[in-house]
Amino acid sequence: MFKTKSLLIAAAMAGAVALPTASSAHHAFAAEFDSSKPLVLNGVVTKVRFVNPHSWIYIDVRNKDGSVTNWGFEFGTPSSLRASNVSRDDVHAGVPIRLAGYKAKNGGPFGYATTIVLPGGRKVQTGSAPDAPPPPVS
Amino acid sequence: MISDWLAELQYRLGATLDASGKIVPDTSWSAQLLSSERLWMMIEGTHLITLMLFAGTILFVDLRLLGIALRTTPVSRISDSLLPWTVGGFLVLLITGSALFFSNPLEYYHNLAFRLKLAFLLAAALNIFWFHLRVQSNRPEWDTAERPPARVRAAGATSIALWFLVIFAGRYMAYDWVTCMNPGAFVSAVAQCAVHDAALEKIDREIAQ
Repeated sequence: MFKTKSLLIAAAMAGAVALPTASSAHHAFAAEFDSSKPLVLNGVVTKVRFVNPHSWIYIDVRNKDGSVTNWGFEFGTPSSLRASNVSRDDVHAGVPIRLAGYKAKNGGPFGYATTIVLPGGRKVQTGSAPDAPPPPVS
Repeated sequence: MISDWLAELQYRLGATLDASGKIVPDTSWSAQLLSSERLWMMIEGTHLITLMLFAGTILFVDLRLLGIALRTTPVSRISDSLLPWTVGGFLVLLITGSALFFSNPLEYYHNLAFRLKLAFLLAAALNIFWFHLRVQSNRPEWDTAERPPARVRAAGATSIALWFLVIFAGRYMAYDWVTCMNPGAFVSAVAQCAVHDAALEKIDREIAQ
């Protein structure tokens, strides 16, 4: 009886330690993104995928020379986005958003979104890496 | 060909279609699993924790074959009592691993680390067959030897090395530089990123964003 009880307590403790990290520890921020390269972009959403281990948002950004680049940003787990009350109704193709974050180290049009600003001015903190730097702008 | 089929599996199977016949995003069975709030994490967690059971039991059989651990216990006693745990662990890994693959099939198929993992898995399987069919045939002769013969030790060392590589490659699947996101020439060639991009572009046209 005592053995079963201590086993249960041990399991509960292990669960308490593991659960909060399970939602975020997929890879460290620094493994893929560069905290010395912050960026703020205005763009129009082309595609969103609410998936684990983190969601993706793609936006078309007009460059200075008039060309358009499609950027992809990692932005939070499905559960953290749900907790922030962000759904497909807020971010679907055609919605103009402002996005702040950091560039990917892979050199392509990819990054890590720390904040998005929805039409109407609602600001949402995104991102799920435990070692991510704070948003480059507040 | 395979990639188009995996894209259908990932984006269309089980998905809701809108009035114009386009796929409603994130409604396929694969996407529902990948975007689930708890289930995906439970499966991933189970996959990782079961590794302890699987690789841990293999490790001790291999250390015994190498003559490093449990040297005074006959090899047959160790492997016979641990093998059911190893097989059980493998079944759980196979089921959870298949479910994780199903949640993102096109991406995993074109992931350099995933391809390496499969190659190492195949090599580890061949090593097991080699061991059971050839190396183990005269086991009674060295069953109680504290330090088994060279070819037995070689099989144990190969096994440790290959399972280490399988786990190592598996961990690296999580990083973007083994995927088709702005890949380098090597990753692009081995992971067939042109095929990946074409399959993704094709299915994207069918999805209502």
